[in-house]
Amino acid sequence: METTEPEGRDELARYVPHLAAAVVLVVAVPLGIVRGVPAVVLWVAFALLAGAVVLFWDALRTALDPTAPGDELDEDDEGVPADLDARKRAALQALKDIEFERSIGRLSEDDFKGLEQKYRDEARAAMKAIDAGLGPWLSKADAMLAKAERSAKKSDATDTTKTDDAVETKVDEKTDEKTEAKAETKTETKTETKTETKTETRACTACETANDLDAVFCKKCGHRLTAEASDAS
Amino acid sequence: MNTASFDAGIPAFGTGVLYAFLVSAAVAFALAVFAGVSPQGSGPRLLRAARLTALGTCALIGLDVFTLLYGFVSHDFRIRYVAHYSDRSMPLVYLITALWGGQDGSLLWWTFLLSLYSAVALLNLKGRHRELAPWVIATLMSVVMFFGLLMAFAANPFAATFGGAPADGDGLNPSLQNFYMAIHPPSLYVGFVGCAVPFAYAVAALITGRLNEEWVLAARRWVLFAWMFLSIGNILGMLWAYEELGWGGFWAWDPVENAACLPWWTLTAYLHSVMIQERRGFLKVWNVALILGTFFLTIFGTFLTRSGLISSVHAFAQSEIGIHFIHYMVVLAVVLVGLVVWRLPKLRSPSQIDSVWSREAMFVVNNWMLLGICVFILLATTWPKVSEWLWNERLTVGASFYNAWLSPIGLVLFSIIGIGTLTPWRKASPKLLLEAFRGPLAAGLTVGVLHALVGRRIGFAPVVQCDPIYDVVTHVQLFGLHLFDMNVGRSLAWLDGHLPPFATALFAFNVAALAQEFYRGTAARMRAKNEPAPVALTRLVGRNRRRYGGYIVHVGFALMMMGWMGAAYRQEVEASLSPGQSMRVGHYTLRYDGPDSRRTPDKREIYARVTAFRDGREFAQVRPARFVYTARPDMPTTEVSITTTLFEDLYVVMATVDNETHVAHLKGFVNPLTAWIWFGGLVLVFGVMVAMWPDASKVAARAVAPRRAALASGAAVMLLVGVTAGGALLLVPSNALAQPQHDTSAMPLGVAETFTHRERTLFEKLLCMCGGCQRLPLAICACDYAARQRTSLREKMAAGMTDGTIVGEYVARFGPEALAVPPDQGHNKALYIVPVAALAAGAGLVVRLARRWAERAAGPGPQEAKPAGDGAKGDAPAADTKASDSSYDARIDEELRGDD
Repeated sequence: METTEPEGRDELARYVPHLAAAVVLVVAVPLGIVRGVPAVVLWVAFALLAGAVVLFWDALRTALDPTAPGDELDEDDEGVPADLDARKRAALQALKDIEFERSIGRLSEDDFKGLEQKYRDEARAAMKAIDAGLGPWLSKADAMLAKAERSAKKSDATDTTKTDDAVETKVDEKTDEKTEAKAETKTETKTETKTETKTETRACTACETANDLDAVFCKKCGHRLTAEASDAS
Repeated sequence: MNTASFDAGIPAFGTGVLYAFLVSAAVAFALAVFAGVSPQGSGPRLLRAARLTALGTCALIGLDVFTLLYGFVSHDFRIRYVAHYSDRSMPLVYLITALWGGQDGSLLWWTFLLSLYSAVALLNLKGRHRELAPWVIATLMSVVMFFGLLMAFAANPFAATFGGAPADGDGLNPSLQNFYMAIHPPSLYVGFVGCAVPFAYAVAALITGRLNEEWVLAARRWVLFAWMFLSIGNILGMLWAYEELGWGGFWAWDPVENAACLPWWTLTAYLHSVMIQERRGFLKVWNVALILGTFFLTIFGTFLTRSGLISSVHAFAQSEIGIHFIHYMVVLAVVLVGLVVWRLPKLRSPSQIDSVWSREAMFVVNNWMLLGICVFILLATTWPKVSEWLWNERLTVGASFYNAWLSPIGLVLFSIIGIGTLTPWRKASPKLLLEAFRGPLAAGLTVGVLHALVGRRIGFAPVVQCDPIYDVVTHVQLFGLHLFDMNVGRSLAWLDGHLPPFATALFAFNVAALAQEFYRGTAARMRAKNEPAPVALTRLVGRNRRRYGGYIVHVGFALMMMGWMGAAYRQEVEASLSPGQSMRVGHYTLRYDGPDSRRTPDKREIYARVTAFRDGREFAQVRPARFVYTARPDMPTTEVSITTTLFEDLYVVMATVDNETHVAHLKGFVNPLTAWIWFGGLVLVFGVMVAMWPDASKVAARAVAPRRAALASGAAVMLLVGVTAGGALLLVPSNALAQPQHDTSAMPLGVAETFTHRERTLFEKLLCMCGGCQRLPLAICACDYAARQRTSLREKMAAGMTDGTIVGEYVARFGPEALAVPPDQGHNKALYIVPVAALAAGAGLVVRLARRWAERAAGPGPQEAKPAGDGAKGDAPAADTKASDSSYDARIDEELRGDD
């Protein structure tokens, strides 16, 4: 995230198109009342022409000037090999599906158990593989987090996102605005940070670990906490 | 373009801008391709430049449209298109609709919509999907280039008028000057063009090889949006036909209508099958192919409607742009097939499902049906051309062919809705499945049996009379051995006649299944979360929008199917009445009270005052009319009067009224359940809205500025309000303007006189061969020529000739193309044997595939057997496995809960 321009100006530049559109509309109304419809049509046509010229000029500058900023290419998204990510997501979706089907009485308990085991294994395998291949990205994420914490001084950054790429974006965006936010960087899994301020917890019956009230399984030992299903979405 | 003389003005400027955006689209295309092939180094810069150039291209296209609009509002008749489609007296709103009123303009309009879509897609691309982005831009620009070239070289809307500007223009055809014509084609265009964006993503995914769900997710909303407008456009088309054309029906299986609905089938198939890819990671080839096919069909549809290749030999002038479309389609087909074949190894993925009794398997079945119907329609639509090419025999495939064959096939599809709804994802336990089916099955059986038993008493007889579309006996032989005789026409008519109770039973089954789904979900939530019922229902739908939005769409579809079934019970009666006389249609009595007329500045309106009685009591005053426009006295329009009740429409048309004797020729229809189609359409649109509704919390969580979420929600609200308001407007019964003439082909409207059942049956089989109208059946066509034919046929009937002889004579005179349905003989058998065989073969294939996938899943587990998978390098030491497993489980739980 190399922003060459100061934040304020950058922010302002983002609103220029909106402003221009607003001006076109604001002028069009009185023009229509005074000079009639053809004038409005001409005015909008002129605005479109001007817009095209500005865009082409910008494009030309970008194409010819080697130092001009470009649309940075993704560093392969979240650094996660695409098929692994898809596998993880599909397995999680499967878990949601079967929980939902069970909750409305479509899936028998036995079938549910069997399928749950299967898809948990799949999800776990995918996540492990992702983590294993993520070494360099994790350290990068750590560095970014550290940098964010330094720059945010007394602020504590928060985040709901689960991916390091998102953390990167988020942190950059938030450094200046989230001043009284509270940080809770989860170091256990490294790729994840969370926002929820935990107020109420429930102890696991097997290992006494404090879990969220709506947790289905203990986060430490995996023991089932509730009989009810949560929703799939 | 003559730059030397500045006089050329607007036409030259418009043409110049046309060339300009063609060039800039080409530049954007080239930049995007360069950015795509060199992702590093100068790639990012080129990508940005491509994006900006593409946006500039969109602005230029907008400029061109506004230039043409300026030509219209300033009455610049130097532009041929403006002179041809407008005049000085036209109000502003019709000057705007004239933008897409003719061929050249509608191509520009197509391009304009494409540019709007592209602009939104481009803005959306900024900072996202950066690998796909260059190819998305390149694809969109290539489509822009095609239409730009087409306009520049074959259909320039800015072409100058020959011999200088006329004093006034020709005016827009009155058929386009009405409310439905103003909104129906644009809505269809929005749906058609909307398919271009998912197409661009699919092509980008193929080229980059990023064939996981990235493109699927990126294209999801676009697909739903396009699908919604395809549905709306088609429904509006039906509504237009119903309100304007005055023959009592709403869908005539006209090639243009078929072209409009073809992409709908493939896109519907995609909406279902893509869920399998998201969940199980396979069917990737299939999904990509469906999107590519959908786009191809939109181009094909545009080609069909624009080139007039198939409609009729005479109806549309053979347009010169047809050949360009063919070139484009050939290039498109070669490139797309090439891309898919090239990526086939990457697209292959181990396919497996947990059980044959799972929703996944049902989706495969549904795809088979949807595709089957699509192929059926496609084949029948193109058959006349195929037949001409192969056997030099001109044919027509009329509405009765589609109705007869598609009714049973449609019902099979209809049954899958309920079965699929009741079948759970992943796996069905037989006991629970039985439990789930119990209620809906009982509901379906009860309603079906009730229909069979008491239907006759309430006007819905269980068996309706269907006339056979063929009357040929086929001797089925095997190796010269005579097996049996078969009369396909009679068998089919018998089958169709017995379908209604099954249709109502399936309707009840489906609706019960869907209702049960809502009930169970709500009940489960009430139990689990202790929420009161309304809260539980709202949250259930809110958190599972796709699922429940989809269910709502299915409810809408079920209602529409009932409307289609209702057409089987249509009753029609016509008579010439003197004031005071009555006629009966269904349980209505129509008393003609006399004519009435009114003068407005531009037309004379002639009404028939009719009082309708239902079961003896006065029911409504209806006023069917004919309007005679001063500008076109030779083309009086027919104004249908429609009175809608919950179960039926009373539809009255006035054909003629005698000035001297005041004798009026009236035609009355009772159209059961037709209003259900429009209502079902509204429900369907509402369902798509629910499925599409942006998830504000999720958008925000995805590190996208909350502003964007707010914006998206706002846009969605506006869209919902707009569509609902538009839909509500449509339901207001109105005397819409019926038009005497279709844009490019004469389509005489009014009333075809048929008095007896025998007459109607015969007239439905024979087509009007006057050459002016679109070969409508004699039972519908209202032109003078058809009237003369009817009279002569009546004389023959009176002379004692059999129907067979009469048909034979008619065909001998006009050729086989005068038959509404090609005879069940020779190669014409392929017309139904091919699709039916394809459906049957597809059924076998589907069963085999599903079995195999399920067996694969039952065998040794797939990837999870090797915990590291292909991407992992460092295995966790065995001792840590358990601890790390539980930490992974915790993460899984978190992810599951996070999305709740």
